[in-house]
Amino acid sequence: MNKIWSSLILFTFIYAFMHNRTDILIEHLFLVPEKTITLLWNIGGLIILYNGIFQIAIDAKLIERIGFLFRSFVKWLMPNIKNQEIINLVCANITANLLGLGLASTPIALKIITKMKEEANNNKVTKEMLLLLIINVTSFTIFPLTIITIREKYNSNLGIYVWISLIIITFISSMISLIITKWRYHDIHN
Amino acid sequence: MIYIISGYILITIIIAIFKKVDGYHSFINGIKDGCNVVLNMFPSLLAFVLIIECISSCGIIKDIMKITNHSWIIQIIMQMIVRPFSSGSSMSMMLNIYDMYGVDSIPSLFSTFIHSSCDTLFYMITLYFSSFSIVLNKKIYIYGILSIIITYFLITFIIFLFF
Repeated sequence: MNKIWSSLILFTFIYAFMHNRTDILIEHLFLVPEKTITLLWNIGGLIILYNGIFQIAIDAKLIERIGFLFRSFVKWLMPNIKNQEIINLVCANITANLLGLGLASTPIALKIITKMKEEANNNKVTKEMLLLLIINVTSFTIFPLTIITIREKYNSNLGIYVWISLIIITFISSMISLIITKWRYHDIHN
Repeated sequence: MIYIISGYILITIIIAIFKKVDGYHSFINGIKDGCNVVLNMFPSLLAFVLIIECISSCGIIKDIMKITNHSWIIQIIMQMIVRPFSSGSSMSMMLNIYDMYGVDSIPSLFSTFIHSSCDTLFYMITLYFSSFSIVLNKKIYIYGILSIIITYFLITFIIFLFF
């Protein structure tokens, strides 16, 4: 990120200098802090508000209630794991993604990784860890609340269509990539 | 849409009341965490707004637009590249596209789907594996990037199909 960032800045300055636009560039440069704060003012407040509501959902143990629905799926996905606690935690992770609680899913995933490392007894990446990473990257969600509220704030008319197509996209993409990973990836033993 | 959002909030609060959870305190704790998240977003957001301002005011976009008529494709491809690295940058790119083309236009839909259907892959890999001193191999990156490319193909397919 460092190289890209600094070379882009350098490039724009040289480009502006070559085309005699340096004064416009400097003028815009002084507006940067103001623009950033307006962005944060508009969007950051929403994120904070939802975070409060999500915390209530976490404390009310909503995640563990819904999690048991995925137990058989997780057992099919990771047949090598016999430890019941890890399976429950993976179910909780999928549920947190499902409800749009992205911030809640990270601590759960970190806990799962520590448990898996204890089970595996070495420093190699196991297939289950990779599957967990892919579950979290292509996060299948049913309530993408933050993004929908931002769109409502910009007076969008397509709310329900965007919602449905987001469910379809995240579901199909996570299924395809999980199946490909389960089918093609093999642990390296050495 | 408003009914879904308010219904979600209501159901959480009703369940919290039934299970006798201290809703007020968990709300306050959540707000505290949220403030930290937003404050951590601020530096990367500012760095990104700086880049956007530099690029847009040095005039290179106008020069590219003279060559190609579809300048939003370049912006979308930029966002596709940035998304696995940083969530804040992708968010500010998305809002920039909303302001330029309107929220219901095709570029805005593209960028909404890109922002919300995948996550920061490289950040997650360092967070999950490097912090527990787990040795990485090349295949992890290959499979992660493959899943993101699958998502991008699906997004393009869905947009051509429905919108």
